[in-house]
Amino acid sequence: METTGAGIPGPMDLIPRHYFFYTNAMNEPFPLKTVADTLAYFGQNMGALGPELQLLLWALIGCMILEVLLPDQSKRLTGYAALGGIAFASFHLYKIYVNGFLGVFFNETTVIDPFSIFFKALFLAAALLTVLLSLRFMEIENEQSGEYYALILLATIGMMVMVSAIDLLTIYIGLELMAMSFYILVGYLRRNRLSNEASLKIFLLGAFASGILLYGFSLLYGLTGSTQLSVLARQLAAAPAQNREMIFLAVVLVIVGLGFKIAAVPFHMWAPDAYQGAPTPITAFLSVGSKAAAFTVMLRLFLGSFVSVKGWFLVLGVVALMTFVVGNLAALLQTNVKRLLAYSSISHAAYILLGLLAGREFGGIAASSGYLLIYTFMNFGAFAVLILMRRKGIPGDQIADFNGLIFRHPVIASLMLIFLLSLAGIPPTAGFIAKYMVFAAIIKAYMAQPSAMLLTLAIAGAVAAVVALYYYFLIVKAMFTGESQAEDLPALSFSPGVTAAIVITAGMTMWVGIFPDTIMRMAAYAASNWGAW
Amino acid sequence: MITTTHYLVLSAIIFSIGVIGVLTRRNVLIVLMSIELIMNAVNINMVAFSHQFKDMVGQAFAVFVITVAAAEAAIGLGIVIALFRNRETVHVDEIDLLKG
Repeated sequence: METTGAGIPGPMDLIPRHYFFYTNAMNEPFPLKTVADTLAYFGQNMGALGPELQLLLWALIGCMILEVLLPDQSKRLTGYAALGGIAFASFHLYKIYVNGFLGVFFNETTVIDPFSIFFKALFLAAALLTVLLSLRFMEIENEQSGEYYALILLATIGMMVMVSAIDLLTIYIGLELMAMSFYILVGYLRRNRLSNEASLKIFLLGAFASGILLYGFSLLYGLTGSTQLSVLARQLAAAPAQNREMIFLAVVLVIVGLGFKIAAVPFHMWAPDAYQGAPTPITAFLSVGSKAAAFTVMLRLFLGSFVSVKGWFLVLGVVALMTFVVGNLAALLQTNVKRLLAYSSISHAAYILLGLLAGREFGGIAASSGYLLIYTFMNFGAFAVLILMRRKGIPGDQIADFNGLIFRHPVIASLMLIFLLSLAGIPPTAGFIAKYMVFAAIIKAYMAQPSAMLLTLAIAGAVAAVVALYYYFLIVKAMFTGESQAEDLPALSFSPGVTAAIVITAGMTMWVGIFPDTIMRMAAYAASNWGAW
Repeated sequence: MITTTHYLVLSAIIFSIGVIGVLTRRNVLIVLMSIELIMNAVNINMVAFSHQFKDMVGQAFAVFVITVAAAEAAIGLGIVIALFRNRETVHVDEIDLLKG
């Protein structure tokens, strides 16, 4: 707290100093007295938000205004506007990467570091695939409109804000922007009862979870007097012993709140329902983007701010174990492919948690980041095939719908096989590399400091991989040996967008599986200079 | 003299009422109201700490929470209306098409 004189603080002193000052080139505090000063300050900082601003611009002007201007039959153009926004945002992100525009911005609430650049690229890739998959799908569903694409871009902005955030307030704003866009997107098929219901479920549990998360944040603020993650880390390390229980409570509340977002057991109840009811491209986006965004916040909090807090390791370890058990066992019973992939997505969250639990020193951050990137491609691939199966009048999301696919569409069936093998973690696909990185990290951590929890987690992960093979092969079995009941099935709904998405995802899945060094270097880049701000 | 502790106890009570409401009530609208209670418990906490530390960040946080809660209520009611048009119910127990 800064006070002008000794004694009682005046009203102006209540406002932290950095709200009025910024540092000039010589690193001296500089008052923002005039409008020109303020504009200059924002000009300096806005560059950091370039990709987000591009997306916002295209979402509002590209998608929303086109939506009003275009006649009904050419609403698809709004989707192309969204693609344009993603292209420009990627370009801006690329410039930030090439120019090394790293640093802390906006009064220490936003950071551009390798970690955030890596994940922003991941979110843009996920958004690109979502839009490509949606172009035809929403036409079949008769819900083609500009708001849909605008909301996809807004959700992406939310994720990008989350990964850049180094302040609890910024994290919360990003999280809510992402979550609210998803509440609407999940219920976007408003004439479909399943979609309505899915939307209500994700909304109620999501809002409840963010309430709990916020309560945890408010306790953290009370315990440390700051919302900045770096200050949080210092204050929690120096916290007096009598505060320990309260800190633990706050951290557990944060685990509950973020556990909902990553769909870890026991906070996973919404996931299968929401995944099944949502439009399929949104299901894919939800299972990849929202999970990755929540994981970036978890990595920043638990391996950055909470490292000195005792006890969270055990809690998260138990959560990961339960996630392995419930996620895999429940998946065995599914007959709906979307639900099956939902439970598979839950069990993948447990593998990513393994990376977090291995810790920063043993390559845990790189492992989790690499896993999330690989998971993006293989999961989107599986969902892209599922979207091909959606035809006029046929939902195509039951395992039985895949019966005999190899005889009718050998290429698509083989690609689906690759995606499923990758999800199960069989070499030479990308999924194997992902599992390898996570297991390497956890075994390294175990070698350095043996603990029963790490050993149990590693064994549970290995067993879970075997169980997972069974339920992925339920689909493979249907594709290769199942008898197709009807001969006169309509053709699969091919479109340029879906084809492009399948080519990208299948290419990445195989390429990363055969030449893993690039992705490993990218993951190492994401973990480099971590928390240096 | 009302100290920060008093505010924290009040906030903890409101938070508990909210959580119990979400977990036990079966009417969607009452669940929504319970979620609002949780948000307001957070606001009380934030403003109380802000007052104690003489730091404006807590109050700024509370303003943001209020804003976001308003947006969330708008989305929530929109979803409930969409659901009611198709199903004519606001009871959580009857919303059970998705399971397994």
